[in-house]
Amino acid sequence: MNTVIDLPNALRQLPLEAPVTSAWPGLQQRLPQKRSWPKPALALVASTALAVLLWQTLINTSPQTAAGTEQSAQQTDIQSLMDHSARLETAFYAQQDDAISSASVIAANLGIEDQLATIDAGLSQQPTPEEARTLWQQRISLLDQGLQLNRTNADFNAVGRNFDLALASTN
Amino acid sequence: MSHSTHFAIDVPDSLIQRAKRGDVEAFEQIYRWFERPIYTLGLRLCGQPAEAQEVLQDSMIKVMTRISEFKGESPFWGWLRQIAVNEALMRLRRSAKGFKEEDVYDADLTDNGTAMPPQAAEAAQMIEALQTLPTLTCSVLWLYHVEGFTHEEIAGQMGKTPSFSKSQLARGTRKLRDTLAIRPATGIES
Repeated sequence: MNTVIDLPNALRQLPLEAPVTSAWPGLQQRLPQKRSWPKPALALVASTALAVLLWQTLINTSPQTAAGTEQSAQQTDIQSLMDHSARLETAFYAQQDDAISSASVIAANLGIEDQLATIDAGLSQQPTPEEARTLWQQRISLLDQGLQLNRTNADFNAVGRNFDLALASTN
Repeated sequence: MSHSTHFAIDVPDSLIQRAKRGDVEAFEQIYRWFERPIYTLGLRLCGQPAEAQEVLQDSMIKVMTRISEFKGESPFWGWLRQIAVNEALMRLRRSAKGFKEEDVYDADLTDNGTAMPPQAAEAAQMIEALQTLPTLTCSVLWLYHVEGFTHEEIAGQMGKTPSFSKSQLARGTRKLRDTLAIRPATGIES
C-alpha cells in the first residue's frame, strides 16, 4: 500500500534548525547597558527604606509608652519576615535553571519576579508597619510558590519526564 | 494566518515591558525562545547557514532597537516574525540568486495537489529535496505552507503578483514530488 504524505504537514514537521554558534554574545554587546535592577537589589532597597521608616517611627515615639513596646515587637516580627524572605529569595534565584526549565516554568518564574517587583514597590512607599507585615508575608508566600514550582520541575527532569506534559494532562 | 508556525510562542506582556525598559535579561529570554525559529526561517528562505546566521543576528538587532514600536495590537511573535521575514527576503533580493533569475514563470502552471510520496515523511529526505529547489521557489513554499501567508501577502512582500506566488508554489510542489519519488523510501511503514 502506498502511503501518501501531505506536503504542508511534512514541511511543518521538519525539526527546527539551530545555529552552530549563538548570536547572543554579539547581540548583548550591541545592547545599550540599561540593565534593570536585579530583584535582590530592589528588595534590599525596599528593606532599607522600611528600616529607615521604622527607625524614624521609633525615635519619634517615647520608649516608655506601651505603643513603643508594641512597635518594637512589630519591628522584630517584620525583621524576622524580612530574614525569611531573603533566605527564600536566595534559594529561588539559585534554583532557577533555564537550561532544563520548560517554557511554561520560565514564564511562571518571570511572572513571579514581576509580582515580587510590585510588592517591593509597595514596600518602598513607606507603608505602615501592619501594611509592611502583610507585604512581607505576600513576598514569602510568592517565593514559596516559586520554589515549589522549580522543585517540581527539577524532579520531573530528574526522571526524564516533561513537566509541561504533566501540567497539560491535569487540565 | 496559520498558527502552526514555530514562531507562535506566547510571550508574557511583562517580559515585553521589561525588554522595552532595556532589561538585558528580558531580551536574552526573547532571543532564546526565537533563536531557532528565526534561524530555521532564514535557512529555508536564503538557503545557506551563513545567511541564516545573519538573518538571525540582524532580525534580533531590529527587534531590540524597535521594540518600543510594538503596540501590542497583535501577537508579539507575529510582529517579530515579520521582521525576520523582511530581513530574509531583503537578503535574498540582494544576493546573486535573488529574484531576477527566477522571474521567468508560467502563470498557467497550476497544481493545487499537495500529496507527496512516502519519502516526504523522512526529514532528511525532505530537507535534501528542498535543497534541490531554486531558493526563491523554496521561499514561497515555506512562507505559504509553514508560515501560513496567503499568495497576496507573499506577492506583496516580494514585489510580485499573486500569480507569480501561485506558479512558484505549483512548480515547487511538482519538483519536490518528482525528486522524492525517485528516492528509495526507507524506514517507512506502509
